[in-house]
Amino acid sequence: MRYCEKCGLYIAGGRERCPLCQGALGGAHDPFETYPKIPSVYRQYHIVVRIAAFLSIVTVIVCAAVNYLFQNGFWSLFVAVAVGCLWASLSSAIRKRHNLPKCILWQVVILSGIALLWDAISPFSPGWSTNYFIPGLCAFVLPLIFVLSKCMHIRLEEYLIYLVLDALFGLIPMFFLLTGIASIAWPSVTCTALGTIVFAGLFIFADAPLKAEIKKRLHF
Amino acid sequence: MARRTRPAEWSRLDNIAKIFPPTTTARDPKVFRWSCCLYETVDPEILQQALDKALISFPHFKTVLRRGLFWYYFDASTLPAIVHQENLPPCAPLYDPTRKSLLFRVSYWMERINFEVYHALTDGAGGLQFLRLLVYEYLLQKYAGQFHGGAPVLDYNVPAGLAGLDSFQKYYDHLSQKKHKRALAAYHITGARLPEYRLRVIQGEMYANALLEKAHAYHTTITGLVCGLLIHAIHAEMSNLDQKKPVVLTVPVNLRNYFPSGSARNFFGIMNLHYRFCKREEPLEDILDSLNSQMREELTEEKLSERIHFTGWFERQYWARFSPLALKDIVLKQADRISKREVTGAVSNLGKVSMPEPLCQYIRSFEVMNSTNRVQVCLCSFQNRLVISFTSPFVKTDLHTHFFRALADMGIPVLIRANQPEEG
Ligand SMILES: [Zn+2]
Repeated sequence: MRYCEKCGLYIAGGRERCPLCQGALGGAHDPFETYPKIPSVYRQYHIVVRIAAFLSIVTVIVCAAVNYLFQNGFWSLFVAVAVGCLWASLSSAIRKRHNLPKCILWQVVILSGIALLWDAISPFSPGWSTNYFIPGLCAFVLPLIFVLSKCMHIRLEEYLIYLVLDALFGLIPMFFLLTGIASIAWPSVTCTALGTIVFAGLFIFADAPLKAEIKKRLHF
Repeated sequence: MARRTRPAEWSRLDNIAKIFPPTTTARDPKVFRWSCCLYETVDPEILQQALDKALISFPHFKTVLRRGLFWYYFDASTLPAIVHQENLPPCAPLYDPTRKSLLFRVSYWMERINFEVYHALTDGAGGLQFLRLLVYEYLLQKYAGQFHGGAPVLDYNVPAGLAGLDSFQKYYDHLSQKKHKRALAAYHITGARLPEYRLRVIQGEMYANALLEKAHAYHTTITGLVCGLLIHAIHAEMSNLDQKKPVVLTVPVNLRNYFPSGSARNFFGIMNLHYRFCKREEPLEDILDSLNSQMREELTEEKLSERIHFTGWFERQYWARFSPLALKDIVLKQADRISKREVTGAVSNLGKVSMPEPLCQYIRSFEVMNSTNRVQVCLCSFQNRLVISFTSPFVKTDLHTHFFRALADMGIPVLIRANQPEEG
């Protein structure tokens, strides 16, 4: 135990200076520290993410400048939107990386949104997002969540809700088809059929956990 | 699917706890720490066994926090609770919305056992019950051969079912709604903050009877004296312009002392103590007189029941119950920001800690501290050792110096323990 003359206080631990007034201490050392010294933590990926963000901004600015100098349409706007879409998808994926099924489900929603946006602003073959992309994505993701969760030994309760939400999301293409927004039937029908099969399977094989999960998530 | 899955248990957050998840930030992770110092180096293996045993009585601690569509909820978890050597700053964040983890941690450093817990899970008094049980199991294991007249009995044995009960549900009828008066913005301590949102911890250990004697000499209680000294120390920092704003200290009150309950969940009320300075040199006596009269007024059963957190009211509004969680988060964040404007700091007296008599010889002291983004003073005593833990996120130590020197000037010997948040 050491003593600070200036403060009139006894100081525990092996330090040379008073933690309050920074004055020199008298008396004998304690053999051990009262608190461990904690090294600074530097966040992983931090610098990589920053470089990527910087390169994205440089790309957008260079494209805008070139576009302006050559006066050839508005193509740099498309570049800017594309970079924005990329970041929307990427930042969601990074934030939710610890929960794979949730991460995948969010990608379905975000990528569907991006597809709708591009379908609307680009002149090439309109309708591809509602006809092919969204039904295809939903149909692809249903088995993907199931297989990945099985492989990674994620408990049924943990990924159940995302399977249900994706199956529900898979009903939207049917809505596109019925309202005439989509014109090609087979992708939407396949997707909805697959979603309904998953529902039926869950009700038959995972009735109790499904009900418990719904009760938990929707309590008010 | 051959694997049979038992429907997992889950529970709602109690009324006070609802405010914590939306307002948890890196700056204020809403984590508090109870520690127990022994007279010998802690044995990690025995501590692990003690933890496993203690968790049997507190099954609702083995949960993770999850988001539903309307409310947060605790979901039973099979994640293991592992003791480890202290390797994080005090009160480091526990709740991370992006990854599922238990809402408490048990660590050890030299002769100290630390129990850190997310505030949504329990309050200070509930957390203490867990640490007491943990230390009890540890000492019982370690000195198994020494108790000849049979093992000592811990007076607080929470029935496994009762510990998770929400006392607010039970007492809501008694507790009328708090009418929110709009108060003036309080004085806020400013200054450079420590890196990585670290917390500065400076603790003063002293004799409880010496402090109590001083408090009586000033005709006040220990809580009153500590509040007075803190206000006095804050005043020394204030400029003439700052003096226009009042200094407001939040003092949590353990409602278990007023409304009987054995719950280990959150069950506390809040009282705010104000002081407005008129002159440059304000004697400590004047501050203590004012605080005394305020405390007499606030610490009545009727007043306390008015002071229940507004979330009790919030939960009973239909528009609030059925609005999605994302919207509630925004509303509660905003409400918290407004109520924080009215507060300078907080003082929390957790009172006397008791342990079964045969175990006391192995225990040196108990300590408690809380994360904060202003200043927070927490104190508790064990036998005749009282520890005042001062936490703040600031680089400067003027406030602490003023506070502890004042105690030393009163003739109370104080032993300081401090962490070194800048180094490393
Ligand atoms: Zn000093």
